[in-house]
Amino acid sequence: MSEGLFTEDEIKEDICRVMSTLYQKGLISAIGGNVSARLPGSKEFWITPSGIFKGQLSVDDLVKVDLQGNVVEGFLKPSIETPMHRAIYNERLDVNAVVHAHNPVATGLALSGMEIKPITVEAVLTLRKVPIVPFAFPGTEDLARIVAENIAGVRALILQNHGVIGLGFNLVEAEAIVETLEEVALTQLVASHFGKPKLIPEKDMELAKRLYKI
Amino acid sequence: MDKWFGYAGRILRVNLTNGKIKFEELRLEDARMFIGGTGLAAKIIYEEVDPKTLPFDPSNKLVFMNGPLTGTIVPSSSKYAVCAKSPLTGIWGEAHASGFWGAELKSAGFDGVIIEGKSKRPVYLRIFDDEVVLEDASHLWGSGCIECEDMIKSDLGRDVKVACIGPAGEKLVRFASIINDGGRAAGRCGMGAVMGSKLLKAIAVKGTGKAEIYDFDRLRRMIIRLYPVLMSFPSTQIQSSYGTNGEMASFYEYGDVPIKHFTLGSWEGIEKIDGEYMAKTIVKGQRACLGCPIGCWRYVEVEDGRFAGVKGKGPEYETVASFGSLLLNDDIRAIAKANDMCNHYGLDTISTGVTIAFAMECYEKGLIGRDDVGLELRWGDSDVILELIRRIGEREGFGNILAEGTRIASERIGGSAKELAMHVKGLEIPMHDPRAFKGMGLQYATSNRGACHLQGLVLRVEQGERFPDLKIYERVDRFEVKGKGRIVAVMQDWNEVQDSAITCKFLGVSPGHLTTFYTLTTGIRARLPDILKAGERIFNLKRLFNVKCGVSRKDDVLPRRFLEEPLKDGGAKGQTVNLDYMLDEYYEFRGWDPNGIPKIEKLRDLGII
Repeated sequence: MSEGLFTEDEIKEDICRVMSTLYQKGLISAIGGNVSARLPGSKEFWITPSGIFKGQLSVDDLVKVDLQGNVVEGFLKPSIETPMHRAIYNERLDVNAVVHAHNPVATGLALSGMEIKPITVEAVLTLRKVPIVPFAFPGTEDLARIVAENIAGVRALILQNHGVIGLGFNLVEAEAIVETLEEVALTQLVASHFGKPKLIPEKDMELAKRLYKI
Repeated sequence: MDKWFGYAGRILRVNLTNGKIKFEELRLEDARMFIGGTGLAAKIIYEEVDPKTLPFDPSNKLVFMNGPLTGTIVPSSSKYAVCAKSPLTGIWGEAHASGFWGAELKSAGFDGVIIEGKSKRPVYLRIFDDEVVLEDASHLWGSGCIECEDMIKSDLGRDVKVACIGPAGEKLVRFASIINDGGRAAGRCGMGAVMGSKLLKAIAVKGTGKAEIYDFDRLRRMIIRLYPVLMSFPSTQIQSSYGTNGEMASFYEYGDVPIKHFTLGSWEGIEKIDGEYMAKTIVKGQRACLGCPIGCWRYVEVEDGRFAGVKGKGPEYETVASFGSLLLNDDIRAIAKANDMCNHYGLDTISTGVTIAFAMECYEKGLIGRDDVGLELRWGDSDVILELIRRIGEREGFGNILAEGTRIASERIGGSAKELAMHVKGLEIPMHDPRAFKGMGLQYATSNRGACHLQGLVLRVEQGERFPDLKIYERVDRFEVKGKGRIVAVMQDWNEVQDSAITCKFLGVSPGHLTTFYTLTTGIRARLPDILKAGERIFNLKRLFNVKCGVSRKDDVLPRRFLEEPLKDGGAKGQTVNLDYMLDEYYEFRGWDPNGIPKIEKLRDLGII
């Protein structure tokens, strides 16, 4: 898929760039959140390390892991969420980048029982349906399994009591999904605080509504 | 042209009668005017094929074309087109296939291959860069498509890409397909039969080159940053996760999925053949064509039951509906088997399913009987369906009549059979009921290759999608006919651009973005109006070829069923298509006369004459 479009060096640099951006935007904390990416169709992916301060990663900090979970390159400990990333790549050939962030508003809304609603154009076009998956302890195969069971046809998920996941064909897409999710969640929070959010009319989101049961 | 970008800059011409092989230079003016793909093929066929030519006559030409974007880093640009005068319709014919073959042809240094004449014995064409040789194919003749591809790869290497015909193409079944890359099909219009008539079994290609990109860095940076938008078309993630059949449940809600030969509006079996059910039962993997971020290609394996052992490329939505709901067959494993058999014989799954449904309705209404067919034709009987596929592929018994397609078969059967033949201009109706999307009715009636769902995809507009680049800003009602003339024409022209550039229609590349891709890839500076005008030019050129074949308003029709018989239930309950109203509007918008003939001033404006 898309041979010649990406190089491995660029993917690594991009992972660090995305982590830095997410940190500056407050979507990951000093030690929370992780990002991975692979060349399209590859059976190996690069992932951020575990436990290291996330705001200033360099490409040397990254770890390469295969789809069985074996470390192929790098000497740091890979992210604790490696099983979840692995499960996603095993399930979705079209996904080459996974961003796991701790979006405070999106995660908070989900904790209060509120789903992301079709309140903005981005919510419909970019996010569509955002499933909330039940709590499973971070880093476990249980979490990996639950996520894998819920990612058919979605670009974003909210992990209850944990954070969010954005998926993309490349990192630009996955990053955009996570940022859009927080933007929509914040808008929904404001609207909900002052009243009941008005939804986009059904006739104006017909195809997305029918396909994704929004 | 000193140096080509995007384009290979050469077209291969192979005369099978005398064995002469020529490399011809692409002309810059032709590239500007007709882009590539079916556009360039239309120009070649319009200039070189007499409209009176019989489709199986050696003077018919079979033109394989890739596009300037084929095989580049532009996403979903793996397709090729193959065009000729169609034996199924007797007018302009074209088919398209994804996979890897088209890009390999570009790597070998060719924008296309023109096949002319007729060989004295079965041959296949081997293209290894500039080494182009006609090889004996007597050992391949009679083999199924998947088997033929495997045999050629065993001889020439696994990295060779093969497009070939099966027994159906050899036996001139009028809706025979060309199959490449293990089951990707150039299905429609009987291009496989034209190939068979020339005794050309296959084209095997291996290329070591690569088309150069005019501004590679800028194109690459643009594509990488566009992904959030490119992947945002509503159907994209559904097709990634479930394949094209992932939309069946949604289409069913609209009353769009044809049931029992377009006579019913609801059917409980739908849940046993839709994308989710398929994923739970027979799908074992996901595959992608070259450069495709979606990966709608399903790999299936049937592990149990009577059809255990069927494996390979899985059925698409069109195939599942044509061998499923259309025939009241709710056995997804039998549908996989039917798909497998069509890939073996090299048969278009849409035309095959519709032709079988036509036979079943004729049987039900007593127009044919057991003595005529040699079988009892029962709706939903998968054994009967599979046996009819075999007989069509072998042109055996009653299958020999069905192999002519529904139009000719209905004439042979006689009586009221013609009323039951679901085709436009001879091409069988695809799996979208125009009573659910009225614009699709106009699209079917006016598509240059006959009833075609892909040359316009107007149902997307009727599902509420807007196309600002095409000035389609409004929310369109699917049952409304007013205003559809403009929308159908504009969407058809845009689809001509996609079929010429060539990009896959399943990825949501906007016209504006495609124009930029074209400029950055080829170095030929184009703006959106230039590109859309090229699309209109191509559509009109194909129409002009058809007009010379005798096509006019009398042929821009739909089966009576869609005009007069409303469905009793389902999402399109009570609807019929008011085609005449839409046709008037359409002709006027297109600058054609009321009889559907392009006016001289329109052709002049487009630079066709």
